[in-house]
Amino acid sequence: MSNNLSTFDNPYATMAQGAYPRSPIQFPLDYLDPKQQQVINNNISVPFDFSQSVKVGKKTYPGGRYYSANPSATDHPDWPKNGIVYLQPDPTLKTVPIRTSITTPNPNGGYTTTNPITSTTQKGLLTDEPSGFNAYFLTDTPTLNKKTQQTYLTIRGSDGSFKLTNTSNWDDWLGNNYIFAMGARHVPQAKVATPAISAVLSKIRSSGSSAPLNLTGHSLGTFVTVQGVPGLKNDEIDQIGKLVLFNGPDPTASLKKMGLSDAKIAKLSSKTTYYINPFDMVSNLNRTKPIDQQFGKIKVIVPLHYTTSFENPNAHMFGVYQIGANGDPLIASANFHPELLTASQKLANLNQKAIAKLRALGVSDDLIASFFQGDIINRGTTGYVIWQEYITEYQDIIAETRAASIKWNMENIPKHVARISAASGVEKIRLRSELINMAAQLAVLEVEDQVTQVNKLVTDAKEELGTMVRNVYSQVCSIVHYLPRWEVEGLLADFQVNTLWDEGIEATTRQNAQKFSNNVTELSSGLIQATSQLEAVDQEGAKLFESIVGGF
Amino acid sequence: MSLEHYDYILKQEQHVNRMKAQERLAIQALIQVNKQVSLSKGTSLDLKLEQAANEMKNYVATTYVSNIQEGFEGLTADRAEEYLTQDLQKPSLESPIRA
Repeated sequence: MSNNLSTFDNPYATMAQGAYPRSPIQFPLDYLDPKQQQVINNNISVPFDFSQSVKVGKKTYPGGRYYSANPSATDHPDWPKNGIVYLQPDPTLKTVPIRTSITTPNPNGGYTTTNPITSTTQKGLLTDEPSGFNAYFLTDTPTLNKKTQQTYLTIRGSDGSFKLTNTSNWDDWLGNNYIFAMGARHVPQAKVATPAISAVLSKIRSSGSSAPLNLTGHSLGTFVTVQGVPGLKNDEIDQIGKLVLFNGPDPTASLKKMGLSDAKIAKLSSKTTYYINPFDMVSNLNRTKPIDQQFGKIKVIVPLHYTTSFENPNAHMFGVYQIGANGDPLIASANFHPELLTASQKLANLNQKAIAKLRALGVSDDLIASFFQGDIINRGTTGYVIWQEYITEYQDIIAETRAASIKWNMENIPKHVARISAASGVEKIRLRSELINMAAQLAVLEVEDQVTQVNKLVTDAKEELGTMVRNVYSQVCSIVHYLPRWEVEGLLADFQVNTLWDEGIEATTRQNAQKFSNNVTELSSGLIQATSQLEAVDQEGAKLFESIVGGF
Repeated sequence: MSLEHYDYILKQEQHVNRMKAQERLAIQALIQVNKQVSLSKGTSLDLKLEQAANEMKNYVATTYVSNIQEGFEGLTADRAEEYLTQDLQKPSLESPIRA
């Protein structure tokens, strides 16, 4: 299942996602097509048209409606009206050689030191390969000038998942994520981000544009953004519009550790919005306080799937986001899926408990001291137990919330239908969109349960058959005193699990049930995408829906 | 070998063969009975899977369609209903227990 957003309707989520390689529409220079690379290498901006649909494999990502020729009350205000943003070139980007000092003994005594080039690295205003920092500057005009009204900077999060064997993302995971999680430290990428943001702001000012710079990021990109801004001058901070961040932890402790005053934290907080997934372990880090006391405005999303950050679809990625009729992610509140607010709080408490246990074990933000000193085997075993307990409780939170959400949807769908009848205008569109989201989520969860039930029926039957065969063997053993073993085995030859049970049919049955569930998920995504057309001409909505689900 | 001894051995062999035949019959009967049980488990599983497949299809074609009814209007609603009621086929779920 896809881990990508199903629509381009939300500008910030779309651009935060676009900072990653292999997104449906992506900004990383190495992943641009050759023509785009040629353009940007000539210091000319590259346009990205988010009004157009994109097909990746069998999946269609429909173009957004927020840039239509007929703007309406529910258009997202932060997209350019034509849906086109321009990726600005970074003329300072260059390949820098890395030299290594090598000292060799001379044949006649003494030593010689040389500094040969051993590798290269990319460095520029918005790229710093050694620390893993990557950002992309986008505008609503091809060149930055006084007509520019919208500007955006999207800062990339971690590359992939942490793998001990893949050193290429150690800078993201060990150099930044780890020291933030365990020590609330000012991360190296944020130190690079500050001059980068400052330079972008300077460019905007010198172009004559009065456009604010809106910042967005996901995961590691969220705290790189938030920690990157305080180092700016006050007038530069005033130039910042919004910080719209996805699936990131609360950064307050780190900002205090950086020496920020409460007033400055409050000022930055007022510009910031976080969208967090209640089931994502990263989103719910440092979030034990009530959400109105956390940094920024916290919006807990209503995910389409209820999974952990280790499954597919992944709770940490964008694929589970549902986008509402106003172009923003669908969020939970006291009146709409309140059980998700509780889940977020529970996961935050669980995270805090696990970190406290790790600290008690001697794990700190000093990586070397944490993992390579002391009784590694004993601490490793205890650490493994802590991890197992964490995963069990994590899965329990999701299972409990899943059941509560199914119940909530069942109870509230009829109430929503009644509200729709009484509503009008934009309110009616919002309610209709919410109804589709509720119905789609309920269908996905209910059909997932039905598939689980089918798999259980098959598994139970296979186990019963195995028990029956074993019992027969046991009875035969008690009966036989005269028949030779070879003859007994011959008589029982066609009474074994593999002769009574067809593995091929088992696999097909399980696959068919799962395929049905996948189709319902795809259909539901299609319905959610079609809600973006609720107020457009109805025929367009039908065409859009058909283009999404036409493959069935 | 004396006649008595020969007779004794013959009777022993006959006894063993009789016992073997009885054991054969007992095993065959045991297998036969359990095959019938297995067959009946297969039929029961087939029925349960058929019921599960019907519930999956019915949920989508009835409950899901009804739940989204107020969400869409006109052509979009028609197309969505058509996909859910007609295009999305009932899953084929078969018992793996062989007859």
